[in-house]
Amino acid sequence: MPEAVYADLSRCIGCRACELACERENKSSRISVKVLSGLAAAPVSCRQCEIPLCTAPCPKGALSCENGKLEYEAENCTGCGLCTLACPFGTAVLRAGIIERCNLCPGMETPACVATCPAGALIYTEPGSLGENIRQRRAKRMNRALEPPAPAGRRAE
Amino acid sequence: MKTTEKRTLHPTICPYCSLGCGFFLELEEGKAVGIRYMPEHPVNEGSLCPKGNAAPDILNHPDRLKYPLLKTENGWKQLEWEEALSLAAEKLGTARKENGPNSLAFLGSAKCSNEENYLFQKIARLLGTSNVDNCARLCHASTLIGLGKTLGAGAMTNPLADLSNSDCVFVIGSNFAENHPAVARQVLRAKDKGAFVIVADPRLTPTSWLADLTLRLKPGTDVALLNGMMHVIVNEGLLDRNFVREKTEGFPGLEQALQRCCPETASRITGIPPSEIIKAARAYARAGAASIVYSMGITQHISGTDNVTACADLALLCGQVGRKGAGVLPLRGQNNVQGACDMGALAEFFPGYGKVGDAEAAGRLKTLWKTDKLPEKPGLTATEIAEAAGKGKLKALYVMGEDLVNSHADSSRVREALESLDFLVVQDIFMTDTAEYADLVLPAAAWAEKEGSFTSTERRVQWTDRALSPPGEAKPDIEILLLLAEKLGLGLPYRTAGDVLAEISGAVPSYGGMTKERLKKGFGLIWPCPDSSHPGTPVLHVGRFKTPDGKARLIPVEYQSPAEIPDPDYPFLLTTGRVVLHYNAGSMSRRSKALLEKEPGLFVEIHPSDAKAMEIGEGNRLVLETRRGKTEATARLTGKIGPGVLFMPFHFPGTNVLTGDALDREAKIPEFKVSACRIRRE
Amino acid sequence: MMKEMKEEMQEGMKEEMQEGMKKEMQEGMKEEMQEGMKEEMQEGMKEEMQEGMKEEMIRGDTKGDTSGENCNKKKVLAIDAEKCIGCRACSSACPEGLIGLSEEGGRRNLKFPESCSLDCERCALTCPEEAITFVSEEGRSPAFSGSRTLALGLMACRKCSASFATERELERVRQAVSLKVPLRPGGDFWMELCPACRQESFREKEAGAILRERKIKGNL
Repeated sequence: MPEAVYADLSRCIGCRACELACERENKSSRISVKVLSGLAAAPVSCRQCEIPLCTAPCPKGALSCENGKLEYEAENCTGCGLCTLACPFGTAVLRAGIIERCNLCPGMETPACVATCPAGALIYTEPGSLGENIRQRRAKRMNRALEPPAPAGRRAE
Repeated sequence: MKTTEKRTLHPTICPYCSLGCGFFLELEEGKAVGIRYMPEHPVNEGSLCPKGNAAPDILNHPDRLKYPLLKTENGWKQLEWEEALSLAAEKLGTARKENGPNSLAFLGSAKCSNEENYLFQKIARLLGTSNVDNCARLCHASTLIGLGKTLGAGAMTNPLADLSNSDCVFVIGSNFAENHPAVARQVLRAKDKGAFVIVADPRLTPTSWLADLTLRLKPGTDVALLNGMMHVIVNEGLLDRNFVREKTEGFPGLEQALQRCCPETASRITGIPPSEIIKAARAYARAGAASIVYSMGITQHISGTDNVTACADLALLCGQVGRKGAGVLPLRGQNNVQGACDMGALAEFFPGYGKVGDAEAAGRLKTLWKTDKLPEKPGLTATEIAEAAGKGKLKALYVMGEDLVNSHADSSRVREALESLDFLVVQDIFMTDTAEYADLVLPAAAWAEKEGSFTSTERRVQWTDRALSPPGEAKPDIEILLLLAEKLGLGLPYRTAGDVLAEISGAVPSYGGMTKERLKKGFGLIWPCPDSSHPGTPVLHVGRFKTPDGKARLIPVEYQSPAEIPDPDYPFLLTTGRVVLHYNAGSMSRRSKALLEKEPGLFVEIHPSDAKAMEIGEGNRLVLETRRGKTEATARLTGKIGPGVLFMPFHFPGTNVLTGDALDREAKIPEFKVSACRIRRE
Repeated sequence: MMKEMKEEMQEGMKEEMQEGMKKEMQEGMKEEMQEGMKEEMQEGMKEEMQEGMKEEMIRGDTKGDTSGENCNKKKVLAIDAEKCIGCRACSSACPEGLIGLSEEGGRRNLKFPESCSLDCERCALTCPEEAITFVSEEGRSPAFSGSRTLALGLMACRKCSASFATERELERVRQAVSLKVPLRPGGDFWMELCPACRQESFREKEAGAILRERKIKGNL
């Protein structure tokens, strides 16, 4: 599976530093953070799909995917916007006739949004290395939340 | 934005909050064009909050002040530096001669370097007045006093990274997730290791998201909560008896005072169920190492000093100070507010916290400064300066990098006060609302345009070099002050910030071992660093406290209600605070297009049930009114706050028109956090 | 010929812009410009500017071309109403903005000009469905003389009810997508949501667990 930017929502504090960083590096932000019910914030950006559906309707092959890497050639782009309609996550945006989506900041070791995240909520990795970790942490947290804090530490005696 | 060969990277320290995060400024042809992250920095580990990301917007901003400006009948007139400084010196000199040195006042800047603040207070005191203060008065004056009298030092006890070693983090009156975002990193790390996190805040903030237990207390009832917790701890025998016996004084008095503060009483005052107060008390006291993190929710009350004292009492009672992962961590405001205080830009303290009025402290300074006369009485504090000006007791005021019109409480009175001055000099990087009142405006350099040292909230002193030139004819504050001192005939013997630091190391004992060279190596030094071979002191109060006998003081405090509580005329309780996308009075953050776009104006949070009763819809314009004045804001309906409570950020002009100037009796900090308020739809 | 002119124009414009820039620099520039400018100069210009330049070029082309060969010869747009999916690519491509666009009453209307005198054919080249062709006026057949306005049905988002695409666009996308991955029944619900609502429902789904967890903790 290709590498992508993933969010650990238990860590996200909704500060939008990722948006600011992306905006500075790419002129417009390709990641967006929103707060839900005042209780959690969720950043969303291109999922870097293994089979990117956005490439499917592209009439001139401007968007293509080879060996799991999405390529975009602006010269061939007709600006028809069909790709934005084919993305199940709504993360491809057509602005001034150019497709804007996360390209993982080529030329930088870590995408700017990941590097800047104060809470360490954004992770740049393969999805496989991710799932277990977050699930385990979540289970641990749930246990803690449901039980009263156990007496711990020095004064156990 | 790609890094090309033409671009160079320059390490620097973020100019916004007090964490002291490091990053690289990307420069091209002398302009700041971008940011690169600095993963090796011990505080932020490469991360930056939204404001940090927008920091370069301040540099090269078209609104920057570029020339000295004189107010004339026909608007602002551009002056030469020579002319401007002669005028300033002449006006200050005349006022001093005619009305005595105490007709002058000086407001330093927690945004300026240690060297600049040191120089600033030295000029004031050499002119014969201790009327010199800084905006710490508005955010953490109560910390200086409260922690000073209990622990012996008014500063954070442990470094930020040490939070990750805590087994319990008790956050009270701090929304660090928005205001000091990089702290979230350490708290989350502690949580990963199994720490229990308690957040006490009237609002439900992103910081509360990280909590295992949230305590939503009524604004201004912190002492009642803390006393309630201590009651449980004493009652259940959870206190650290050895620690209390060996390292503290005053336990019997505290124990007696706490008898009246059972959880039920605390619950009635705070609105938190007794069971949760007990749960919080047990979690904190039983933890192997526990930290208290607090901020302006604790300090900005008429009971600010008491709140801080109660926090310190709680920590001392449980022996949660002076160890790894155990401490009291006030998160301070400005990037150099700790430093400005250390340097003595405070009405009652000389550099290094020697009390003004203490003959021994004055004696040492007289020798160092080679003068035979220093002010013998504490001067006016920032809040009192504004008041005295309003009463015509001040003739001239020199403001370095402070927008008191927007940052002080009751701004209408501040405006009147500024108008009644004979002469006002404002030295700043932008034409702030305060500068508009000035007779003379001096253009200063921003942080990356000068060199100097800055002390972060964790007492880390870091040096930054000049990365680029100031715009137009703007000058570093230190240069302006040195030129002014010359005009005033004070003849100060320095040329560079390094020279000033050399004197600081003699004047402030905890900076004794600091030199420019040492600070530039690595990531600075954490004070106290008394001599040139000392590695710095990350954790304070190990073994003994900074009091003369080495013992901390347990001081009982009693709950007192806020100065102004809602009544039929003003039925809402208005509290103020900050949001993640802006900073303090907003003179910097509101000039960043990216930040302003995302948070464009003044809003007020109101509970949906109150909104419904008053037929207020999301986005309606509301008129808010207190006994001081009125202002308009856009309604935001949210359950983040409780019914009967309103919240407004103070980053936009208007909020502090409403806030009251009731002061904490010891620290003289205004009660920004509680005002009685009424609202109506526009 | 086109290419040469293009280069010339670009050179000229660059010079002009640089001069202009210097002036602005002195007067103190707007924030956005400061940020963007240099990079744009180096990396080639922003889309709008490119558009603007091409527009200039085309105008220059007709003006400059004195042979009369191109400018007098009127061409007629032939629109294949069956093929057009209403994607608006032609409209954004036309340098003169001759292809009108409006949305009302659940329909997207595209109004094509009778003819145009430009030597560009960008609309035809850009059309993903090859629905636009050019015929010379002489060769104009009666079939093309009908209505120049196409009205295409729009789909409303199932969540927010905003019209977000034409039925044909979505059909086209559905076809293309189903060639890539089999769309199981119920697996294509997102197709009926506008991109903004797709993002929102994804966000809600992602945050579901953490929201439940935080609510369980009680007083949140």
